[in-house]
Amino acid sequence: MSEALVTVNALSHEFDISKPWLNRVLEGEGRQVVKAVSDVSLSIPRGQTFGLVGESGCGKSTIARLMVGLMPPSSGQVRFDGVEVGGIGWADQRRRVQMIFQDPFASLNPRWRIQWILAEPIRTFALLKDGAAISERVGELLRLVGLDPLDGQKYPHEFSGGQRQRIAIARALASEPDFIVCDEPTSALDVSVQAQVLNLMRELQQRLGLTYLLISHDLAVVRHMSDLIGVMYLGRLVEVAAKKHLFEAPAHPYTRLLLDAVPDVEILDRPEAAGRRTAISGEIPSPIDPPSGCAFHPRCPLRFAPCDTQRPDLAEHDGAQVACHALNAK
Amino acid sequence: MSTTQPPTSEPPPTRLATGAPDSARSAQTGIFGRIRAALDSDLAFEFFHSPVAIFAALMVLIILSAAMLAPWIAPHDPFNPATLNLMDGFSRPMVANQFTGTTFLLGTDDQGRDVFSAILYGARISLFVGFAAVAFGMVLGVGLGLLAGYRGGWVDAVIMRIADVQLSFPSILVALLIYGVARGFIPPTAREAAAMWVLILAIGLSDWVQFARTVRGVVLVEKEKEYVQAAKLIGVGQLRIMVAHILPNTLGPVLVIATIGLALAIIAEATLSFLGVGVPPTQPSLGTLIRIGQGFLFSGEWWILLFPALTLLALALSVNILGDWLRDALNPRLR
Amino acid sequence: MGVEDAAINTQPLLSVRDLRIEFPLRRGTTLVAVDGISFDVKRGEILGIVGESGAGKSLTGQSVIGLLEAPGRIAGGKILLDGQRIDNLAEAEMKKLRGARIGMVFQDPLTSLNPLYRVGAQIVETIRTHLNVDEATAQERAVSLLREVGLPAAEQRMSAYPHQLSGGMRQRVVIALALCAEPELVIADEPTTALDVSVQTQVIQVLKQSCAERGAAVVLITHDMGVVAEIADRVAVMYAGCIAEIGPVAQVIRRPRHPYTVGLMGTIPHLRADVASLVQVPGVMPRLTAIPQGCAFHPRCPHTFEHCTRERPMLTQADETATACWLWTPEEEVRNGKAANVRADDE
Repeated sequence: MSEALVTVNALSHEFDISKPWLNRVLEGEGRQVVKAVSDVSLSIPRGQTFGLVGESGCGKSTIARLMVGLMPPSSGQVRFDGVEVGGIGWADQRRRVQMIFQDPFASLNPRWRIQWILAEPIRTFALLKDGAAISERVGELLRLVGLDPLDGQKYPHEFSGGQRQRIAIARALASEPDFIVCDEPTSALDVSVQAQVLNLMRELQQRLGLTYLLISHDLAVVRHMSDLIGVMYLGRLVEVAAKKHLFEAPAHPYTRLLLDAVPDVEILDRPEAAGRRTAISGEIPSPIDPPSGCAFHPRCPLRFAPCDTQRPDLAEHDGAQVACHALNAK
Repeated sequence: MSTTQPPTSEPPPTRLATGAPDSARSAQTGIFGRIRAALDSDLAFEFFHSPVAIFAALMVLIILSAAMLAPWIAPHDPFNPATLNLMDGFSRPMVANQFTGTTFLLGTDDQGRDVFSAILYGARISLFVGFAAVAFGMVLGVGLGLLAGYRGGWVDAVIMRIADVQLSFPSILVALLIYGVARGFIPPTAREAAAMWVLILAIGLSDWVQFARTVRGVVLVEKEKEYVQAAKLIGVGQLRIMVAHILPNTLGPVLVIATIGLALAIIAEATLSFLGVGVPPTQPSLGTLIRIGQGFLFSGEWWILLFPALTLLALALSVNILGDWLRDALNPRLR
Repeated sequence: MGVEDAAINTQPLLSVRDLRIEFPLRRGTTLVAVDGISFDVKRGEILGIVGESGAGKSLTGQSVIGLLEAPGRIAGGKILLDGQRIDNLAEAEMKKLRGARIGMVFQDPLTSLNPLYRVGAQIVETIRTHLNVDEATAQERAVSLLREVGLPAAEQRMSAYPHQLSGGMRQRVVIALALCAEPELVIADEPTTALDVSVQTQVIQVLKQSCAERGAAVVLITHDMGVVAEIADRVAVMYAGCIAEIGPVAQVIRRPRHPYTVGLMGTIPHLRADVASLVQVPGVMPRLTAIPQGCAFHPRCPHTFEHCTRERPMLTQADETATACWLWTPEEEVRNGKAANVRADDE
């Protein structure tokens, strides 16, 4: 097990969604905050992929932005290779952290040619100075992701969604990073294109020794790509386990619910499971007004006394880390 | 809510591309390659298949070239008092003057000035003021709109409230106000020389709001997009993001507003000149000519008013039509 | 009477024959989005139409309900509902069909429901438009419908506005709305795509159950094979405007025949098993303006042979599944010994 490249410590972030001051005064309302991320701690070993999975409102996109320094957290910290993100010495390390976004249509500037898009990180970090050297490097990057160097002359709208994601990957690689945060990189793509992009990402990881944080709502994708997996619910981390362990012996009730609930092609091979799905109750509550204590307690089959007043912490349970009173009590 | 998005792999077939659409063509750099690519684009196709747009563009082109070439193609110089002959005054169009025997294409006014030449020079002034005023308003408006949209917060609030206040006054009144104030600052001797620039300033300042609001709207949308986040991520500065990343994406709507704004600026200038507070009488624009002609309309010398008015109409209308066409052609939903 | 009855009962509820949808483009060319597809939907069965984006599945659904947006138009073929042609009806006639005989469930519940009206009022309005009942009966039916689709506290929810409900609840309301006038057919276009993963199965099961109760058939259009596997009886796989394969769900998913379906199933990451690398079908679906000659899939097909580049294969039935592939066409099998070998390998 390699040492941790990225560590997250008690990370929390709130969004102030209060109405403007005048409205508040006139309507007599107080401030309203959404706790998007609540006390999350994890560590990502070098060269591996950490998969963060969860549904809407779980805060995974917020975590993505906090990890790369796009926003300062309300509290807690993210450390990259010992340096605090956004703290002293971060400017030098910035180059080594990159991100791939979800929407292939919005992540490339429609008015810029591909070569300018790919050259921007190189120029900003002054990795190369000479124009010809930069052009060559851009060509190299395009080849690396399976595109033609001549594609550098084109505009983003001339490419399909899958190709644009490849360009986004090339842009992320342009700064020669060590750590890439991938925010739902294939959610907007067709399944066959998704396969191409995921295979490419794995190949690049092996070739260049990259570390990934992969964020997705798709459990199957996370399974395919990750070594370690964290499950999030309403801003909190409820389970962290190695891949095999999570899928073969899911511990937290929410993880089990999620695994059971996914519309699955393989249901045909398990006709007995079709009739006996765990009774799925309720939906995700609004993050503005989360339930007290353990956020999952209204929907949990294992719920008992402490669950609606006390928030459970991540604790060791059978080879994984689980935040559940019922499991940790044993 | 980050749930699954519908997968998309192709832009819908009805999208209009103004840039180079095909791989082979876009790969051409250099000026000829780009011109060829532009001519091949969907926008050019729309243009060449729209008789209205072609007609309007031709009209603008004719008036523009005539105005620019005025010193060479005008048969007379209407503003040189030495060449004027009072006996030429009130000549009818295409009819030989009973005293001097000269024929004027569109007649003369009371001073003996050839109406046709006066129109050519007048159109020149009108177009110059129009373009300059729109350019000034555009630079100011786009700049403030970018700032307001990107910075948000109190910067946005201040700029937008100023815009709102200004919008609550009719733009002609605003222009008059600015004009009056500016004149107060300029010593009387310099007033005449500065009149044109004050006019440009006045019209431009009454015009910036349109640009600012539209650009601000586009900026608000664009700054949330991921390509801006990607630039922020690598530490690109705010100013560079605004100018290099977001500004190019605002140019479509700005172009449409600029075109329609040009028509409005030309009319604004004509209005102000008509009211007597525009360009000085030594450099009459179409508006001035209309004012002059108005005095003679009911005594029978209709040509002094009619022809400048028709020219102004043709110019403003064509520019307006072009602007409307451009807006519809650049709108991906309207087919 | 008995024989006639039987004949009517075996007649498919929905019959699409050689449907062709075109888009006239700028520059005078035409884009063929759907190129002559044919399929049937029996009474009470659930047919899934699966395909990637650009395959033409949404357009097919829209043309059945008559909501194909201009400039797209039906350029050929027939659509028959219970033996009666519906693709050439006037808008006024079509309006009577919608809701009463064909119900619709769309992807985004936020835009399917009118945000200004209460949920109950919308259902009641639809009931009263199509069925001749009084206000009180309509209200009762609406409440029982809401209960049926699993909306907790149905009575109170009647007076809720759409934005007060969560995504899953809204979609249930949309299903209730689609079924309230007792249609025979429901067209569901990506009904679960905009929902959270854990809610998707709930909603899709609700759709299945409520349609089964009424004997309504469903055309389920989606890109997600998992959803199809959950509830569909038969599935049609579309590629570049044509149907590649159509047959019972278990057969098509477990034993896909068309090379595209085989590739597609291979690209889906498994939830319960580890694979070293996902199957990658090289290339991308061709742009509809540049569909290759012959079989549209041949440039990406690992088993392509000469005939594939020349002629487009038609759907050929072999037991319960029909495949549009020269490899699975008997005459070609005789002509090319290669095809026989490939088929053995595939199994």
